[in-house]
Amino acid sequence: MHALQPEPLEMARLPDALAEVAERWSARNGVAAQVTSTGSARPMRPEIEVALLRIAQEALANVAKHARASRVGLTLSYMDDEVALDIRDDGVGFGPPSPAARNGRGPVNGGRGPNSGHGFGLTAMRQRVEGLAGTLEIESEIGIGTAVSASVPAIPAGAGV
Amino acid sequence: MSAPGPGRPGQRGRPGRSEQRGRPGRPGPPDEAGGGTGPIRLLIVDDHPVVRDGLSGMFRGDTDFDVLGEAADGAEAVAKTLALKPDVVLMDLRMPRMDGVSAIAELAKRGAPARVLVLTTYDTDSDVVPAIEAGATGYLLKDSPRDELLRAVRAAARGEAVLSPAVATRLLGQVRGPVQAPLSQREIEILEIIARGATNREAAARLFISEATVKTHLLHSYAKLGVSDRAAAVAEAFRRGLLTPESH
Repeated sequence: MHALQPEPLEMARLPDALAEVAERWSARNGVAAQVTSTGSARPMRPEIEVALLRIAQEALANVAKHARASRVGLTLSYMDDEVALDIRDDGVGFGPPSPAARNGRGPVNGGRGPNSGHGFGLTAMRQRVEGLAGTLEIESEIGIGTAVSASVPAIPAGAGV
Repeated sequence: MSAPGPGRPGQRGRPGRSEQRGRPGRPGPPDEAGGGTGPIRLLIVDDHPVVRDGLSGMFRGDTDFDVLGEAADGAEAVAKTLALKPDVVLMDLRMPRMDGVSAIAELAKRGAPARVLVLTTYDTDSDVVPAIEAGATGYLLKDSPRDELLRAVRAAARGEAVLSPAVATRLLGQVRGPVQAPLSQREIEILEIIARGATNREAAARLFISEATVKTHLLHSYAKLGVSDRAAAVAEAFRRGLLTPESH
């Protein structure tokens, strides 16, 4: 039933929307995806919830395309003055760009790195987060996996424009 | 330092000082009280005779100190401080008639130069802050070791602020303001992992989240606990009972 809804956010708060996105992604890709929420979940302003949901979708798309992961965890951390969304996988990970790639003379990590032709959507994610005065962190280690962490100020729904 | 002067100070004024200096007849400036040139002149204020006797005995056994007298309540403390002009007043807080804080405030109002070192059984916020605000130079607990007590009196005589570590921690917590928000379950969970010796990276792996988020939670915990590093955070969390050895 839920899968028929075009826009999860229209009917649910962010944790539920994330759970739904993760469930669908998991079914499509055959990789376990678990959503966890910590702290007191509360509705945030729509642009924040939409941005975090998009980031989750983009990060999951990257995992599907590149990570060869067996497990993905999406963690929503509601803190006093910020909300963080972490998407962590146990996939192949990637290392720092090679010198050749940094010089623009070759592909990164054999074309599988975040700066490769796919772009990994990292730039778009970063812009989304920075547009909300937040920060985006990418942590990755070859053979261990990758974690994307988006952290934005917690502005509750209904707060002044 | 030169050899100690002969005999115990018996005269009025500042005999010990001039004897030790070997320059009799030249009194030191009044603001040099307890500057290390003579015995530190003490007044002991406590409503329990046993406590007064114990403290008197302790200081009388050391030639660096001269116990001028004792008082059993705040009013007597004020009167004797003004009359005897001690360098340091050891002041109890909870006393009949006039309590210690009122006595400290009264002495400050009258411009008494004596340094007041609060010596009390209690280290609760409601006791410490008013005493310091009223003008106490220091605050020690009665169960402080003897050496710490003697050192504290010497420091107080020099005008240095003296706070026992337990008191200092409380006071700092107060000054840092109402950041007394309770730790979240997640923050405690991360402190538990850190307490077992895990690095941020290991904690992140364990919770399957980013190191950045572990760090954020830790920084929030530090602020709430009034500390600035992980070791202090773990120690303070144990002290507050947020972490227990069983959970460890």
